[in-house]
Amino acid sequence: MYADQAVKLVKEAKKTQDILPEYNTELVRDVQREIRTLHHNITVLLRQYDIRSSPQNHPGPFASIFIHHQSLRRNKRCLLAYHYHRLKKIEEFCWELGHVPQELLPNLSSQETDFSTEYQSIINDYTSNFTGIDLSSSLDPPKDPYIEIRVLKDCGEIYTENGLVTLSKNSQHYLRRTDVEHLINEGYLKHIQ
Amino acid sequence: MEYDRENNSTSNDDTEEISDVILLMKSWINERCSPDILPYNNLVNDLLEQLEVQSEIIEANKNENVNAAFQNMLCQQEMDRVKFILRNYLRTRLYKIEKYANYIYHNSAYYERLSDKEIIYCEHYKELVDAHLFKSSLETAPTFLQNLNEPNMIVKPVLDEPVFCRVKEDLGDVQIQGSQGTSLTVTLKKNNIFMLRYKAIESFLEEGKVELL
Repeated sequence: MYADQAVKLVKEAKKTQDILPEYNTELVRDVQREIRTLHHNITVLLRQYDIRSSPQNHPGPFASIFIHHQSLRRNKRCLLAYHYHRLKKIEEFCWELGHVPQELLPNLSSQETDFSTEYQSIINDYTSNFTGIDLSSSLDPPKDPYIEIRVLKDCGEIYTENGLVTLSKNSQHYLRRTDVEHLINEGYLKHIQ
Repeated sequence: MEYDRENNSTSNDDTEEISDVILLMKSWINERCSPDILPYNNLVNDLLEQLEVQSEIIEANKNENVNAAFQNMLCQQEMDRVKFILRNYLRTRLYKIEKYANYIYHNSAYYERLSDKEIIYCEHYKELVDAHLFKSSLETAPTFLQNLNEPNMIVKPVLDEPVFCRVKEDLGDVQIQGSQGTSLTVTLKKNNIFMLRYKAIESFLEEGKVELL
């Protein structure tokens, strides 16, 4: 049936709401091919029958064109939904980490990689107007200005208000939340409740 | 009035800051509860400046004594809270701007509600998303399918959404339009809380006569 492939794309997007799976080049191409075939069929029918001026004389071809057209629109809608859904996911990464994680980069299409770079620059343009606050840090309300953290991966020395602190693996520290928040987001540190 | 303000500006710095923060908090709560984008609150920049001044004071008091250190910690915590509200306020707006970018782009009336920077953000964002969607899905499609701005594709704020609101001053009897042409009269008394369609209280919210909860 027409638009089946497109529905597969949407289902894939729905099933993988929390992760960013590999860009489905194959399926996207299939849908785009189907769009072209449908369009071709419509043009052929339009050429064969004089439907525009007297549709009532050709009910069969008229219905056919209608169905083709609806399928075209459905394909378009599904394609857009699939891509838009992925964009939203990429945007989330850009805000949270400042980039798409290394291990997920191969899953992006080349256009999506371009998008993430450009989106990041839009964010940077905007946030550079507010130097005092870090717009990308957590949207949860702060409870304590200081938190206890454990280091999961070596991350060298960081500069805090009390001077340099060396964060070596498995050590535990009591530090200003704002100083280490970005390291928590990137998975270097763990916040101990 | 002007005289008063000048007189108080040095001695009452604290209270002024508190009221600014409370005003921003109100804007923030309204923004979070409303389905539509509300006018931008220009206090953001004032508050950022005040935060900067405050952090300089903390820096200056840093090595004073134990009391100062304790005071600094409290200040720091309060600053973190203000920063959180600022951040959340701006991000909430960006979220709505992204969601309704296409709609805003075609409605110049909305531009008045955004800050200059938000307008730039909105325009760049819309152009970027459109370019991406076009390139990755519709480039090879027939021209009549390539339109990305069909009326049914533009996401609009749902103004019929119900919201909770508190009435801040007596507003008397107000006619509220229902969905199917029905209408009913509600007496909006001060301090009463209602759940109403956003559309019904939109103008009151703009005038500051109700607040969202």
